[in-house]
Amino acid sequence: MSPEALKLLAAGLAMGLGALGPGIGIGILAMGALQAIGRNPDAQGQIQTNMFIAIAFTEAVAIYALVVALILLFVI
Amino acid sequence: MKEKIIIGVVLALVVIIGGNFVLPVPRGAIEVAAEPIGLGPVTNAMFTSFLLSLVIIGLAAFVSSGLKEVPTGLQNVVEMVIEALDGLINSIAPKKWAPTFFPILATIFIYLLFCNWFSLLTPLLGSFGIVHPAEHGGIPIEKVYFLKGGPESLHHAEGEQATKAAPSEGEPKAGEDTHEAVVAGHEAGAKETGMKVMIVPLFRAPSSDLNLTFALALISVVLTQVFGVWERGIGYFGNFIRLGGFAKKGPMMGGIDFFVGLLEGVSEFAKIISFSFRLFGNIFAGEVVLIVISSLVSLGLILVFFGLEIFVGVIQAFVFFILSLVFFSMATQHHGEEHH
Repeated sequence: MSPEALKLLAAGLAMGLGALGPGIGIGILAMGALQAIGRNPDAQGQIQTNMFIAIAFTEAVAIYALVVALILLFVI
Repeated sequence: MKEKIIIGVVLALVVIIGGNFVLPVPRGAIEVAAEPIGLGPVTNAMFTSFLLSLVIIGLAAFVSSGLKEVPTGLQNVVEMVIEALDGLINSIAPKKWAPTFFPILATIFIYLLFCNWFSLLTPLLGSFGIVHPAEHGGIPIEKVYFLKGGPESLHHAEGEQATKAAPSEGEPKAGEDTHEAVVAGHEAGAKETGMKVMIVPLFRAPSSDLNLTFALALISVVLTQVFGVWERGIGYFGNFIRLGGFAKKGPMMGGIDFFVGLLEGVSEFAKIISFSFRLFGNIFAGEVVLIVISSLVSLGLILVFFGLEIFVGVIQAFVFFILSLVFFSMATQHHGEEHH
């Protein structure tokens, strides 16, 4: 296969596979947060804030994969 | 009132979607690294960062010049933001350190907020820039509007180093700038064909440049160590070199303790990478998405992505702020390791 085709394939694989983990992770986070809010609606503000912070952490891993894909497409 | 809003929205959509057909332009170039504009090593991200700093300072001076006892308008908004930040910092940081943390952390948040939101303007402002003859790729010179000196100047410039600053259309964009382009006419670059040029944008969101995010990450992590030493003296580094376990718990647990300490040290470096790439990835990917989507579909659909970018901008600034706050607080709090 030509290098161009391999680069495109690699970019696609990087982003696709890299989004699996964080996707599941964010889902689990949201589940935990929603359950906590269900048990204790008064604490919604604090739970929401902490949920956003944790989601930003897990999303960062997907962003790393995106950066790799972008580098494959536009730099190399 | 409601009819006016509906008419306004429909008109805007017509202009946006119609502008795509009236003034088709090629997709803008996507560069990972920020490019230098005419003045030496200064890149467009540095230039924009300087401008944004001036804007923030100007805003602060303007608001603090007319302070009223009962705040209204802009003063109200600014006070809301500062009060929220202050409340957060006081709730997480130790009492004696909160006043020290507040300036640097609030600055990080407000500065990053402006930087991140500037990425929304990239599809518009990214088409103003300096025109260079392109060796490979690039857009045909007919598509460049308002070229100072006309396309002939670029043929002269090919031999020398001269570049002309030229506002030009890089991507399909509706609204005000298509109006001026239509008024000025397509004739600007129609004569010379076949020559390809590339446009170095004059403005670029600072946080889409890895240099700025890396610098901020370095500042944040180094400040963590500084605050740690300030509070706990040189014993702060005992966090990373844990030799106490050998005496207290025997060689096996002591070895594990020591290894955990080393891991903490490595994780400090991982924090630098993680801080910088999280912010860079989010904002740069947002810019890429805006540019690519604007060239794929008519611009009505880009509004959804604008909403996403606004949200992401706020979230990333907030995440940088709160992570720095948490790390600063952890560094200045005495850990109860010895009191297990």
